[in-house]
Amino acid sequence: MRTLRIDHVVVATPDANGAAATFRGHFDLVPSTSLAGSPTLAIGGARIAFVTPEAGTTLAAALASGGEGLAMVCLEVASLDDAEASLRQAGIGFTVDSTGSQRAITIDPGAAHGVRLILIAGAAR
Amino acid sequence: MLSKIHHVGIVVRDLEQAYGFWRDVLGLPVHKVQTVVDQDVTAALLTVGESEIELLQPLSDQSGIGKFLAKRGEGIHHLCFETDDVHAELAGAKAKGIRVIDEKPRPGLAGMICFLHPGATRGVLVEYAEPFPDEAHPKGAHPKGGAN
Repeated sequence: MRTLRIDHVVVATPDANGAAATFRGHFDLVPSTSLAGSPTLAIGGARIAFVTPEAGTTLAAALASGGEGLAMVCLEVASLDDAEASLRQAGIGFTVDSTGSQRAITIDPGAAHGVRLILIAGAAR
Repeated sequence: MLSKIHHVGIVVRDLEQAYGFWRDVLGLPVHKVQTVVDQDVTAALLTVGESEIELLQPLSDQSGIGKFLAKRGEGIHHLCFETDDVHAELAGAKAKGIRVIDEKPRPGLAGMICFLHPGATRGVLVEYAEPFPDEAHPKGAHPKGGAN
């Protein structure tokens, strides 16, 4: 697998706009292309998305149990097909989510040392 | 000025075992490994584009990382922003009234570093890092113009 870069990290929060405003104010970050309608800020070639998760999602469970904070990392890979093959070969659990023509791989956090880790390809950005 | 995400810090139980996923499956090369004695931690930086993944293995249950592991298990620990002047960045944070953990920068794996208090940053433990001049990122250009 060829992993290219950090595309974005996700801050889970009950107040996405407020959290984004905090980061804008503290760190002078500028708004970026929104991720799934969530307020998003740019930092170098990566982004920080502030997400108020929907009830019943794993992110909502993480927010409820661990509180507000960094909850997810999304990495860009060169090829999702290669990534799938590598994960299968290594026996790593994952799911593939498709929205329209876009795909994303969600890796089992148990295999990623507790990290909610998403893999996307360049075209999915 | 903050230029990029320097790294995402992840607490792991066992560094060698963690390499099996982060290095061998994801293909991230190990850039640097170091034991930080005063933090009771062994840490590794793995390069991913212009950034890094920092894997942190506690060496004792009583260290900060050890307590995190005992309480929360393996997982994301902190987010580090790179700056070309960590002293100025920390002074700026204090001037804004942001609670800090480190009153002054100190040496760390990523360079001269300091941490802000997560209570001031929406639960996110934020680190600032000014890389040492002779330790430029293996891919990205160093903000002070060092070799890449």
